[in-house]
Amino acid sequence: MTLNVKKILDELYAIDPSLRAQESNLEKVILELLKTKPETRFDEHFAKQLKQRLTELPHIEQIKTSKFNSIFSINMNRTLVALGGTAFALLLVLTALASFGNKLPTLNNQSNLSFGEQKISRMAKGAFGKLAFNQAGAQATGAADASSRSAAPMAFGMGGGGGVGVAENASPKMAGDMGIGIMPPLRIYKYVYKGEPLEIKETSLDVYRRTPPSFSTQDLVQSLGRVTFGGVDLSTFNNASLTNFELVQKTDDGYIVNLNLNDGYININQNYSSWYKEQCQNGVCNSPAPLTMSDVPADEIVIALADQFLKDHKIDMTNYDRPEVDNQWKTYYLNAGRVEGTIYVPDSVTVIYPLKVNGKVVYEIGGEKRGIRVSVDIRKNKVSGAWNITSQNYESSSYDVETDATKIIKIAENGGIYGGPVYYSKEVKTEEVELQLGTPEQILTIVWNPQDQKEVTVPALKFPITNLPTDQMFWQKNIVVPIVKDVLETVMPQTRIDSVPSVTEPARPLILQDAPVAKPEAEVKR
Amino acid sequence: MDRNQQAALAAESKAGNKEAFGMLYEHFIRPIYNFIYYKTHHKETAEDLASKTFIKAYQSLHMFNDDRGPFSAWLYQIARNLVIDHYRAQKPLLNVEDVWDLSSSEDIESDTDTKLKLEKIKVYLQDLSSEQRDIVIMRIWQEMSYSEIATALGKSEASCKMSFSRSMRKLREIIPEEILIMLLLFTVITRKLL
Repeated sequence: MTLNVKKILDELYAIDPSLRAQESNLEKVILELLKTKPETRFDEHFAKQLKQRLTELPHIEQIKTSKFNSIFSINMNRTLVALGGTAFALLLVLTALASFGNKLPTLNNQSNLSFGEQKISRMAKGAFGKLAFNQAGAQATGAADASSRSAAPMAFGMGGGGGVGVAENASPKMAGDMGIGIMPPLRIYKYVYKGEPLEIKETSLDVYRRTPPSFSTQDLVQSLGRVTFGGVDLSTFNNASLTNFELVQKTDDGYIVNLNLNDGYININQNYSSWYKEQCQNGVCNSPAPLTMSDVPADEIVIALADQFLKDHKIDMTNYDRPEVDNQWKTYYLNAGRVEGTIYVPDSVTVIYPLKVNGKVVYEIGGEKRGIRVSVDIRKNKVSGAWNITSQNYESSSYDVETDATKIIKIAENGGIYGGPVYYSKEVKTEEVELQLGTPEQILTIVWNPQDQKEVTVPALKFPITNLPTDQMFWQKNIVVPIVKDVLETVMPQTRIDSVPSVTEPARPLILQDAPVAKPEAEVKR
Repeated sequence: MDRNQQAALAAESKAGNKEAFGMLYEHFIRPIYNFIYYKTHHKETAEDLASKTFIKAYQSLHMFNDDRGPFSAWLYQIARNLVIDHYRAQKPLLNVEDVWDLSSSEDIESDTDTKLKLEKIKVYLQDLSSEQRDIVIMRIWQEMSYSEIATALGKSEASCKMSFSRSMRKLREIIPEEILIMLLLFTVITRKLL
């Protein structure tokens, strides 16, 4: 009985124990269903075409129907405050209220919403409770089959992170995007540790948890309640607090600044229609001409633009490391053997400012750096957005770490905590490729703790992949293994099964067919 | 991709960040396409409806609210509704929600190889309601958890589990013994060969 069938049966018995008496027949029913599972013939070419089509769609701006929204459409030059410091003053709202002749409320000066100075409060050992890797969440989202190895944003058009297991790393060799291609053998990656002998000396290390801001916005809400918006009396909503608001610049190349006071983060996006208004009429925007590789500025220029934006808006960068340009989209295409004319060049390039907590750089579990991401619009040579500007208040607590190096290396060689069984049909040709892991570096990484529905930043080892494939798209550069014992205990079994159960979905079809163009709507039978 | 990641990307997409929507697209295009294929058995129709799903999702982002459910659930609901609309437009006088509700003579659009493969099992799955079939397809073919299925269908996890167990019991009762014997032989032979 395969793992999957057993799991389905166990779930059934938990729902209805009497079904256990019919196990052999139920197994057959499930096997028959699995055997008859249709081959869906998912077409990568179709997926790429649709993606291209989606990029050309205009952004539908939110319809603003209430007066409430218009209050926040205020002159940013006059009221946008510095992002940083020890308290975040809501002058913009106060200015808006002043126009209604109300007395200006003040924010509680005891707020701990700081985007600048990093504060870490020490707690007792194990203060965050039993940590657990969100394995159920990982399985539910498909991450347990190694399909999603990084939570970090990637350049649009890259296609990394999707798909099932290692199969997704194989790409058909084609002449351009059209035509018939023969699928190469399915690559099964085997990670092998080739670094120095590993020794973990500490038995416990600090885990960090970002704390939400704790100030009160009641005064502010009460003041808002004195204003009537389109017939709605806000003061009738008792015990309400302001958790989120947005500032919109309607000037040329303006921004939309979203502030989440509840979770303590700020995102800045371009106000798209004000950026490309010459192409937009009556709410419909035409697509600009496609870009080429020569339009992409050098990294130094992109970083300089990003640096200047952060400086202009006084965004405190004390807790962030040196910036790097995210060029994975280029690697993606160049490794795939694409030539100019067939490469989709994104409209913007991203600069990452890696976050440091207590002096250590933080990585996503997939190996990418976490931090502020600044997007630079290539057409306008201007920053179009900045995301993940987070408040810097943390708690720290000590947790036991795994000291058995053999165990940790085994997890790394299995592809990390998202590694697991690889299923493929016996009919599929496979090719084993050895990827070598170098001596790890101790870092911090983010794990989602389902117990309290919060992220925790935990110590980890980052194993670099020292012989990255250069002949195809392969975006993962590191294998990150958290070393906190609680987290490792909840990681799924690490057994790799490189053979096929009797009924398994083939990894992908071996022969691709010309993808027919989707019928125009008028021709679809009704 | 967990719910928070979906919500964060959806929020950024709403604000005009196409890269963020691109990430959501990359994550969901295959499962959504597969879901639609399992309900239409026709590649071109599945591609057409999958395209419409994402275009509609992109154009309706301002209506998405994470408080009401995760982005994945919203996306599945769009896909499901588009499939229903597709078949109701084709067969306005019949209560047809997907290809499983069609008889072989009515089902002229399906891919031949799929039709042949599902010939026997279709008769039995037709006896299930559209929703029961969706749950069976999502659990067994798409390996979704009950939690995911519940949010995709807008139901409680408990009712999805009950529905699945009832479907399995029903299938056990209606699939003829000769098929089960054949399956038993198949399993025995396969094990011996392995």
